[in-house]
Amino acid sequence: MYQKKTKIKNSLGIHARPASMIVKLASKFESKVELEKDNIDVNAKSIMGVLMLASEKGQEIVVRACGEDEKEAVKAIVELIEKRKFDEE
Amino acid sequence: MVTAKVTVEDLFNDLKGYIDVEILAGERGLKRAIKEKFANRPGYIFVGYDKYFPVEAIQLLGNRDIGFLSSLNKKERVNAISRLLSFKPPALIISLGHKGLPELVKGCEESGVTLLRSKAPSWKVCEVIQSYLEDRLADSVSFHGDLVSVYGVGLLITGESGIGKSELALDLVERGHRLVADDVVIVKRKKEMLFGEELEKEDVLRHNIEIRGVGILNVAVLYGIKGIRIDKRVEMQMELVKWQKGKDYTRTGLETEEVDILGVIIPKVKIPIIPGKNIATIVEVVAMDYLCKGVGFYFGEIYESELVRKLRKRSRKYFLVEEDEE
Repeated sequence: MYQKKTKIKNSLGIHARPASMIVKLASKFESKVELEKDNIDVNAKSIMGVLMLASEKGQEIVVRACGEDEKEAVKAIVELIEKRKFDEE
Repeated sequence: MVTAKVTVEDLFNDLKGYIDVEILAGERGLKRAIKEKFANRPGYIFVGYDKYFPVEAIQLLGNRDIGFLSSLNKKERVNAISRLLSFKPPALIISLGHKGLPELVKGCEESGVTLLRSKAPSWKVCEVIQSYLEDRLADSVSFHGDLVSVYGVGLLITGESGIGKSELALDLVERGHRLVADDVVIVKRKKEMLFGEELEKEDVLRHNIEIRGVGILNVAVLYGIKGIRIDKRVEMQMELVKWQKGKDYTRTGLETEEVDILGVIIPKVKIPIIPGKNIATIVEVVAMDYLCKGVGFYFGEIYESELVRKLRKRSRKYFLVEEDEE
């Protein structure tokens, strides 16, 4: 299991488009990928869960993966959230 | 497991819907957390016995407590009250609209413990606080899956990503059953029962379902009020698994698998998925079978005992005079 904390940087937070970007990216990996916010875990490969977290700008979430490519999965998703800011800004 | 938090302020705001309640003193204690699920009657503390005292519970002062405190002389009363407040309970609540004793009001103000008052009788205050805290502080856990009420049976459908849980849920709604939650199911334990609901709390955003290749669909709009439910007791877990050759699946139904969720045991069935198999029909049958068991019909067992009876009768035949059979 590998996990990393990250903060939402884009101004609108995780709405539909960013959520689908996360799901698409997470689905490329074999590992089980989860996001956690306020003690609630959701499957990062499934759009409704990611959306229902309703993550706003500035909030902290944990990206967690379990499986052979867990490190790559977590790194890629954290990069999408923190560095690429979902290509929005 | 998720740890819930309730502050004195939450309790105060939410209690207002059930009983009248006001703040007498100690407003700066409103942000403190209540960690026990009941209201304690602090009686013994006043006479000096402080073992097993539930420090993290809200303390309820009724007729008896206020009466006892009033019967003491001023010095003893101040002592008794400061003994209680020295434990820093999250809050105190006076029932029956008793006037807050001046020493109590002063003590609460100084120590920052919120003092609430309600006109309701102690039993009512106790009941309302307890059921509110049991609900808010209930242990809970989140599942990746769907919760559907099938013939009134709360079925928690789980299984790996992409196996078709949402599609199955939609299929069930189409057949007249009711969707509680898709994708994320929050399961809480209350009174040794499990209750499931959606993570989303806003009505407009509730009951959405994602179907691959189509997108997000609102079940409430598509199927109306009869297709949805806000929460439901979780009575059974159904795990969808990919069918594997050579793997053992339940065949006779004589043994039932069980699962422990938050300390509550419920039956669990594993349904192997084969393309072309009508899963919704199977789910309906599973729910009906569960209902039948509830009224004493265990099909597997009934069949087995009838079969044994028949076999015994047949084996006996050899020893009887055939023409004289009863």
